[in-house]
Amino acid sequence: MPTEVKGVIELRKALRAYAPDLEKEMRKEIYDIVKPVVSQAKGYVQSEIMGLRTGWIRSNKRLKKITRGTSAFRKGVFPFYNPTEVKAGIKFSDKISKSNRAGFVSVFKIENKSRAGAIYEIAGRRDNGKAQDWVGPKGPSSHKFSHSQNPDAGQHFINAISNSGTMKGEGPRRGRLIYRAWNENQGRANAAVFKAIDKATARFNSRATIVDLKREAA
Amino acid sequence: MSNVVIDIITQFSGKKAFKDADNAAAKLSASVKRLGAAFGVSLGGAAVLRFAKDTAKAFIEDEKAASRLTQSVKNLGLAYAADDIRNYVDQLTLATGVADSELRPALQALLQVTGSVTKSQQLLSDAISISRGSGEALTTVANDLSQAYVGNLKGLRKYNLGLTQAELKAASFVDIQERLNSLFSGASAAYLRTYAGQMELLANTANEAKEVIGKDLVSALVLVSGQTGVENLSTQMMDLATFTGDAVYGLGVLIDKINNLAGLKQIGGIMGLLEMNPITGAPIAIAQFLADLGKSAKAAKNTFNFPSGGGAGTGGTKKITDRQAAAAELAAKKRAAELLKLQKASLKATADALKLKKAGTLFDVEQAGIIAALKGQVSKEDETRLQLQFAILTGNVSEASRLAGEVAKAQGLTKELVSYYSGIPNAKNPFEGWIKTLTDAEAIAKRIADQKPVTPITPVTPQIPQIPSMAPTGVGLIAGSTQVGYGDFGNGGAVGQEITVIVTLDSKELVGTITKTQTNNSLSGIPIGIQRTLGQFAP
Repeated sequence: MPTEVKGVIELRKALRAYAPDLEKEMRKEIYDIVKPVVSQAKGYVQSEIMGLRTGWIRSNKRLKKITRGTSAFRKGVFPFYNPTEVKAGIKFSDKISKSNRAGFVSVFKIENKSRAGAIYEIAGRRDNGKAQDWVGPKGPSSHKFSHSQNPDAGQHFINAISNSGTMKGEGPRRGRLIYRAWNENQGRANAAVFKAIDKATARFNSRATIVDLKREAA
Repeated sequence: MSNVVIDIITQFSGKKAFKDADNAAAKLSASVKRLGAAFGVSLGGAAVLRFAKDTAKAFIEDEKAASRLTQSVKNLGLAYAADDIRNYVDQLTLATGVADSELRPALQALLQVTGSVTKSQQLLSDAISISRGSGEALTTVANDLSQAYVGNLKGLRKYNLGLTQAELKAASFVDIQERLNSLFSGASAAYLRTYAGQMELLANTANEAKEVIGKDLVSALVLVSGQTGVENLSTQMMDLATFTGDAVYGLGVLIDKINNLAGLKQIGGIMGLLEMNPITGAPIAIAQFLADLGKSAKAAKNTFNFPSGGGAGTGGTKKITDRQAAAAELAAKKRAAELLKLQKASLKATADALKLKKAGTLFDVEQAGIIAALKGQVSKEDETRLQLQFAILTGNVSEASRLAGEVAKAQGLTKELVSYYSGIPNAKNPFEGWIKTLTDAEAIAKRIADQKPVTPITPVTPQIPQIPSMAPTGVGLIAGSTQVGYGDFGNGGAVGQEITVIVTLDSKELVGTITKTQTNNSLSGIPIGIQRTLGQFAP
């Protein structure tokens, strides 16, 4: 009798428990499918961003930890841009995440984990290339406003990043690195991942059937 | 931490959120139950509100139906009996399990036709039995009865009374009522003995209880709000529910405070002061006090709103009511007598019309034609047909049925005859033997003509005599030209000369030969059958 596996998480649990080789094979297959997308995203990480006046890029030295001393900002909240670190932060993950507010868990994902990479990815996305309103260092303390001494600093920053990398995608899946690579892949990787899961399910079911038949024969 | 991620495969779990919500709801429910138990309250706030709304709605619907009936009763001049009718309906619904929402329209229909409270009540009681026995709705039965009361009997067909159309037309309402009672009497009581009937009775009683509670609830709301209507009932009920909730909470706080008083702790707190129900643990003394208070308040209000007869006193009111009732009953009886008279007149008119129709047949040309035809010479079957036609025209059903059977039988016999003849094999040609005889004769003649001499013939100069024609007339057979030798004809002749032989047969001889041949065939076991049954030969 075929084993019914409800949902991907249950499938992975079942595979891990009863067919670890299949689980490993499925993970490797999915990784091979997603790897070109990850590589492409890493390729979009620029080592130099022309026209950037803030001194955001610190590619010459490795920054282990962002502190007040190492941050581009005096308050130590804005990270430096290190292309190596940004590239290292772009990776495929098959770790099952915690449930989000809507009740969904992520099973397979591509992450852009570094803070600088996230800034490079989506800077200027919300207002379509427009910077935050400027209130200056003494303005109301809110993340919705720019507190720079230079009123045009935000716009200059966004313009420089936009010139270095094109933003692609739709809505919340629009960006310059992983979202761009995913968009350019045109869903081929997604379909291949689904197919790999189906394949693993089918193989697991067939194996479960054979086991049942053996039991019956015994 | 950044949130820049592409979810390739996700799955909806939501377990944590739902589980948290479930746990929270369960805890809340348990807390509320504990609180309710502490105060002897078993229903939650929402349930109380829902119940209050339901009861109020039931009462409002009931009140509407009751007001319709009351108005109808007043319009019929039976206002004196409005209270009696209301009480009757209440008692009847408890006794029979039929909802008062059904009883009122049924009673209204009957009252409008009969004009008598007594008669209507009696008919309603019958209608309940008929409804239970026949499965028809009570309103339908009451309408049918009311129509039958005024002579319209069309609706009674569905009850399968076992009466013909003519019998139904001729029957009076009393006869029909007796027939209905004989068929359906006791059906209601039998139904109430069943499980379904008892359940219906209980459900109906519960609904009645809801109406009673709803009435008092609405009255209480009106009393609290100081208004005269129930237009803003929902809003007020919501306010009441909120107010009740606050009051319950406040009561809890108060009890807590009182229980903490030093003196009361020794006697078991405030609950010890109250008389408790031994089963439910509810404080019945307070409830009893409130119930008594409400009852007396309602009684006082009713006394104020409905004074009994403007100083005439109870006895005077009763006298007036009795007088009015007697007058109404008299009017109803008068009306019933009129209806009966009209019905009798209608029946007489129908009978007269039938008689006239019968008399009119004397001058019916069609019938006269049939009678004339019957007097003439006709076959038995045609006579039956004519008699059948006559019976149909005169409306003699039994005779027509009998004659129709005979005609059908005759038609059936004719059919059988045709099928019999069609099954007979083809008749043989009686002259078939003649042709055979003639053919045989021709063959014999040919054989004779073809005979040749055994010895060779020396050719000589022949002197061929001319054989004169023997019989030029009559039936003969010409053998044709052939060559003959010496041994056959004459004393010799020249070979190669053509001789014409003409064989002439006498007709009598021929007939004789045929007769002989047939006789021989017959004797030899070759019969010649001729069947003349159908008067024709087979082709």
